[in-house]
Amino acid sequence: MVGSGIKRGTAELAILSVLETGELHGYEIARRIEQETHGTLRFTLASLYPLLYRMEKRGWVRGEWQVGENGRRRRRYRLTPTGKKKVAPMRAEWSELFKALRQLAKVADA
Amino acid sequence: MPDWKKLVSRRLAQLALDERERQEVVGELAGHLEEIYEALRQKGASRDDAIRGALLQVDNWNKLRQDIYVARTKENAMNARTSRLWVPSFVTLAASIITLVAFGFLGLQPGPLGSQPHHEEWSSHLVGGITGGSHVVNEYTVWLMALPFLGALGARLSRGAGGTLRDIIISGVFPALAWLTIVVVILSFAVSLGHGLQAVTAPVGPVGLITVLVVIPGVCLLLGVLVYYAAAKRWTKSAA
Repeated sequence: MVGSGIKRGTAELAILSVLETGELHGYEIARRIEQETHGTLRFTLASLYPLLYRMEKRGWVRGEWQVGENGRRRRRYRLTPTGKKKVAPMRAEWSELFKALRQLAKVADA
Repeated sequence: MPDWKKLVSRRLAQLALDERERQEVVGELAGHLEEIYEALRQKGASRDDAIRGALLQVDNWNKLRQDIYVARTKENAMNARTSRLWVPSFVTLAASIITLVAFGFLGLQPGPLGSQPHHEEWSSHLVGGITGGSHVVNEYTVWLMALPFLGALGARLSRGAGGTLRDIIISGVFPALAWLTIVVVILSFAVSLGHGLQAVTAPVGPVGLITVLVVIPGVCLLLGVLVYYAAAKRWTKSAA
């Protein structure tokens, strides 16, 4: 079973990664992640917003209310400079982890 | 279309945030549900199915309420600045004071912080300490020798918490900065009471006092910070 720390870590990286491409509101973040991972990663409202608020509190993302073309108010999130700095090291860390897991899988298969 | 705002507001009625913030959360979550509802409708779902589909996003509203409350209030009880700068800084300051007091308990005559009530006496002790003309030379020198380790301790704590180079340096030399503040406040207070600067700081004078209490300890602390930082960087490189 994947621990909550690992789940939260991957979820944070997923959010930071999609926000690297530009400002998005919550629904768009969830949809973009689902599309780009071909459905492997899915966020429900209940899993997304506590995480977004936590990341906002840490200063990684910033949400601002904006009125869209359809006249609806949506809170759009963007990466802060602190959040931008987080992406590369976090990605490197996860890449290391996956590399190590692949190595272990090879050993197990051998 | 259902009134999503009303629905979310009712389900998050117990969310213990101030009303403005609660309404902000309600508005945001309602907007999200509305998007899902519309997406499902566009895919051909009936109104009831679309509502049901949107509501599947939250299987436990009480848990969501709790999660949102924790995320918005408790997560950052100790924020990054506190853990990277203030905690290491005050630990270093406390350690420097404890060290000085400990030397006193060990039978050494305290210098700047100590038990001698007459500033002329401890000032001359310090001057003697620096020039090597008094037995107090040992206590002051020993304290100075301990300071690089304390500077390194502050730097270690700050770096461990993810501090920037600026945070690391400030954390390490914080005792000297605190001393500077104390000296400036005391001197200003003394001058405002009508004492001359020279009279208050005799025999070393204000520059001498700041040198003894701030500059020399600051240099010792900074030395520890720089040595630790260089060693830590080298260690990180070799580990990588």
